[in-house]
Amino acid sequence: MTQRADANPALSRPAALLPGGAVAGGARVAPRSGAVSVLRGGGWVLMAAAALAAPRVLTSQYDLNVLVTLAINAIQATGLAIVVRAGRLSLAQATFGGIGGYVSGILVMQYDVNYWPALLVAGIVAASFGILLGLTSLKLQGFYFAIATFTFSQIAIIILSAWRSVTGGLSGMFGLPVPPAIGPFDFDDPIVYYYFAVLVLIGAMGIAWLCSSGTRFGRGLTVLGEDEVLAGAMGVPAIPYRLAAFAISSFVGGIAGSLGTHFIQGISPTDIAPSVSVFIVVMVMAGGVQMLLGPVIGAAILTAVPELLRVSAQWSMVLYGVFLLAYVFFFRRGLLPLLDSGMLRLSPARWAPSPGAAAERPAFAPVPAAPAQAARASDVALAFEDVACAFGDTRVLQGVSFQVRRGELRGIIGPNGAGKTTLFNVITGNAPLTAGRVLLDGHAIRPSPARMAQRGVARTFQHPRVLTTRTVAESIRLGAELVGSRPAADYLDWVAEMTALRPLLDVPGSLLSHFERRRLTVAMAIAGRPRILLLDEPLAGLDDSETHLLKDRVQDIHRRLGCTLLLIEHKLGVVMQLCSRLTVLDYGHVIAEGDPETVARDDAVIQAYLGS
Amino acid sequence: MHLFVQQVINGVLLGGMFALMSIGLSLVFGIMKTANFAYGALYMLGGYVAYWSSVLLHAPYPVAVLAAFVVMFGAGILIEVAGFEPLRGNEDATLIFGLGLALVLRGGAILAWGSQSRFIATGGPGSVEIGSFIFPTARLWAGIASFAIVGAIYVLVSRTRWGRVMRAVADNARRASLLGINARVVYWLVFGLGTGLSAVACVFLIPVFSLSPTVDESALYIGFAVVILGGLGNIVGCAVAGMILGIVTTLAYGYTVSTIAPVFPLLVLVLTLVFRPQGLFGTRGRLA
Amino acid sequence: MSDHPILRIEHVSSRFAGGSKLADISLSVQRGELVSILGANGAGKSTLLGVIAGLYRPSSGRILLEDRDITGLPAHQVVRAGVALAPQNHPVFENMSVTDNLALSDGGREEQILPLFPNLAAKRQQRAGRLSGGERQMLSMAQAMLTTPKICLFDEPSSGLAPKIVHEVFQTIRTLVDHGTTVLMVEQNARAALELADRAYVLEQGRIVLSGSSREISANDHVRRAYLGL
Repeated sequence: MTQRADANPALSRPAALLPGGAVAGGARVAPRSGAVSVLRGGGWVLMAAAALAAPRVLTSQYDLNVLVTLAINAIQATGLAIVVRAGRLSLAQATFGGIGGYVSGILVMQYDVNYWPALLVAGIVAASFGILLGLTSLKLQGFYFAIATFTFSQIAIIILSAWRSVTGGLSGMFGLPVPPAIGPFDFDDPIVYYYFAVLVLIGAMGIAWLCSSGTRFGRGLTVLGEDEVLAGAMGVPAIPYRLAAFAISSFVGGIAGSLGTHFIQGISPTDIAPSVSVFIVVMVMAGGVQMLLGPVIGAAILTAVPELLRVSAQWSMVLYGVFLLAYVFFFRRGLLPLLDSGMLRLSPARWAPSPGAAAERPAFAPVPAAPAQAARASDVALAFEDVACAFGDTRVLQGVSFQVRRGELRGIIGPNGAGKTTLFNVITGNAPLTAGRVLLDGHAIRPSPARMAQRGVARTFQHPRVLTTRTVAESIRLGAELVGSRPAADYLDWVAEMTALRPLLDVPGSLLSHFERRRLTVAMAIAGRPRILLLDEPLAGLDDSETHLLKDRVQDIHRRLGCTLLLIEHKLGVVMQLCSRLTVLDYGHVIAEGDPETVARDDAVIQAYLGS
Repeated sequence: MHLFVQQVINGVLLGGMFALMSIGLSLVFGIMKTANFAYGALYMLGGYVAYWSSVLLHAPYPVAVLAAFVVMFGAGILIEVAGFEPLRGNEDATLIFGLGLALVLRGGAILAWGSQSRFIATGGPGSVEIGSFIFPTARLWAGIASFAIVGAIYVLVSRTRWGRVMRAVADNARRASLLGINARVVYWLVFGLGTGLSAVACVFLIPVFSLSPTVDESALYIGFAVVILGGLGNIVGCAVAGMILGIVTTLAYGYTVSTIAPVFPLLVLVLTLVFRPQGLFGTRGRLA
Repeated sequence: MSDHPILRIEHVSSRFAGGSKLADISLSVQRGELVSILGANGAGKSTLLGVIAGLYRPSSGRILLEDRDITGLPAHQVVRAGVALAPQNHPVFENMSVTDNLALSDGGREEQILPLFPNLAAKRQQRAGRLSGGERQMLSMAQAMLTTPKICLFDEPSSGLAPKIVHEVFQTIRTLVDHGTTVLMVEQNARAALELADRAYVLEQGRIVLSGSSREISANDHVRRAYLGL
């Protein structure tokens, strides 16, 4: 990740070399050049051809066994990648495979169930355990979650080993039948098995596509994986999304496990050891988790290489380890991106901005701003009644009561540590509302980040949070889409224009300067046409000319969106000019409220600021 | 009743061993916030260093222990400098680095030394009787040694100047550097110490658990279970959590079927993760 | 007061370190002086102190401590050279006792330093995490003083403190200076800072826009409007 210097507020920039070899200069309609697309298409065709032709070339029984294993590993890895993209590194994928294998094996052997319905049941049972594990992910992340998945595997192994009457104990089950023939296709033939596995793999990739770039759910999921707090502010509810990801991922895992079990016609507890799960993780990481084909490529390489080298299990363990170490130090984004950093990226960019839509023509009809006078009750957009927020013994907000009228531009000011950001966090559910009520349009709400975003409350954060792997255009589009708004291209053009991001549409978030990030967070917040916009120090860290530009833009945005706007800002001069009313916080209390002149003369305010 | 008391005492002894097994992990986790997934493998490696210096070089037992400590201390510093330090702050990368290192070390150990179990001969009678209780000598000594070492580490961390510096760095490395403490060097030494201690633990526990390339897994699980249950980097927590898990384990083996008994300590871990992820001794990042 | 400065900063610029930009900053502090840096949030005040203390490396310029070039030294070496920073929001080692906190930087001067912080004496056995904001600030300053510094840097000593406590903190700083300590202080509370300091610099958008004696600065029209609310 490089930090670019961007001293010039006039937005001229050195041409940045983008992934895919494109040069970002001005606004470009087509996000990618044709040559790259052809290359990518070629890659897919080549892969497909190789997958289809493989059993014709590698014809020995041994080779065919390797091919089937490879395809099944690819399914496993593709399934695991779904959860990894949602931000949780699970070390239990092999366990889900094992659950699937045991379930279908038991059903077929002991209950004489036909394999095909048993396969479905295997997937469903694995998925239910996936949800169970997913529940722990709501509280745990990082190392703690990894440990939880490890523990889950261990418990599964112990139970499967102990439950001898059903599972066969430590020696497991053997002599399982291959799936029954479908029409002329006899699964005793490894070629048939192979093609069937490839078919399932294609299905799994389809599911993975739906869970990443293919649907709004998928795109939300990848945003969730990148930044949970930002995802919440963009309208993605973490709990249902992540549970769904776990269910789907472990379903795919269960199916793959069942196919594998019935191919080798046996299963034992050692097949689901955590180290096997780690192997699957290596495949996902090695190929490149952010790409659809990444896990498949990873599985192919890491299955084929040890077989080609004909090495022992120990050597392949060392090999996998070396692969992981190399991954960490040399190709953190996976092998596939190393080959073509632009290829097959799971990108949702579909909105291509029209270059003609400039500021001078009214790109969309602005909602007229509500008249600033008249204080009927229904005109209150947001009200606080005796709101308190505490973390343990620390009371950050206490007895905060005030109202914001519809269409108002309200400044929230106060010294450092007064509780301004916490107030925003309480509204959006990022901080606990320990007492009192927050009313949105006269109705008390139970704030949670995603729900508030869905209800038209958008916010920015003090430290600009952007999606580092997405381009500016993608980010803006996601900002609109994930809160469920379907804005016209015109409107998004206006957003890009308003935040002066048009020249940067193809630049990924990681390459933006501080000022550009600030503007992008504002753009993402307004992309969904919020009714209430909360801006948390949008001008912090900006120099004079930057401040001036963004200040004017904030005013324009407020006027043309007709939204209610709450602005936390330290640059008092700006607040005085922009806002019609100010609320002053100090030590978590409202100490003054009124128009800027009155507030500036207020004794309590002067005391708080100047501490005389 | 007599059986129960015997089980509890056995559990306490086992708990001491668990605490010893995890103390190196706990130091590193607590002070550097680095979860070292290669911990088990390094523990195993330390055991082999002692084993080979005892078998090949005919080093007396104490010398073998010292050799294991010194070699693994150096190895720890090397791994910290080359591996964990450049990755600090990136949780996923740290985790994967640890997993990768563990695979390499374990695979390498099996290739180099085979997968059979080994023992270091300590001699002495098979068991001692104290009152009406019977203890296998190996377990008794390992348990007592464990408590002694854990106690020594507690004194080091809570009572010495060096321990104070470690606690300060654990609490706020940047603030510590503003008082003239070189946090980077403290990290090196802590990682070295943690790895060295894991080696000592492995050597002391060989008579009980034996030595093979696969002891790394149980050391890793027990280590993380104890650290999570006790609370991040809390040494008293480490001892108490070790004892809880030890007692739960012995009681489970004593009163349930041996095939299902290993589930119980894991359940304790799961319940901790779900209901009290910060561990029994709640305050975050507290040491000693 | 000699004209031989303890601390001299020459044309220091910094681009991204610490969140704010610094552009061509030059300033100096004489022995025994209390110098204040004023400015709005995000003007780069804390970044400047961070650069001096070795937390961030400047992209250009030099920092001299009594003619020794300390530019780019890591923080722990800057401390040993004689610059002690008490950071913003008074971080202390929360899980350690006050005594242990103080012992970290003990250079054997406890007897001389601690009497200057009377309210810490009663709390020595307490865990630092249970101290109030004002006490934390005192502890933080005492820790800095115990490193035997040639110059102390205080970053917003008043932030988040109640007015009465702010007064106490400033009293303590005054006492330290009266006992011969050299202090460079960053403060948002412009009025109090100007009352306290001998000289001041005004920092805006990472540049020094004004410098002079506190009296001159207080009389400046721009400062009166922007910082003193007059």
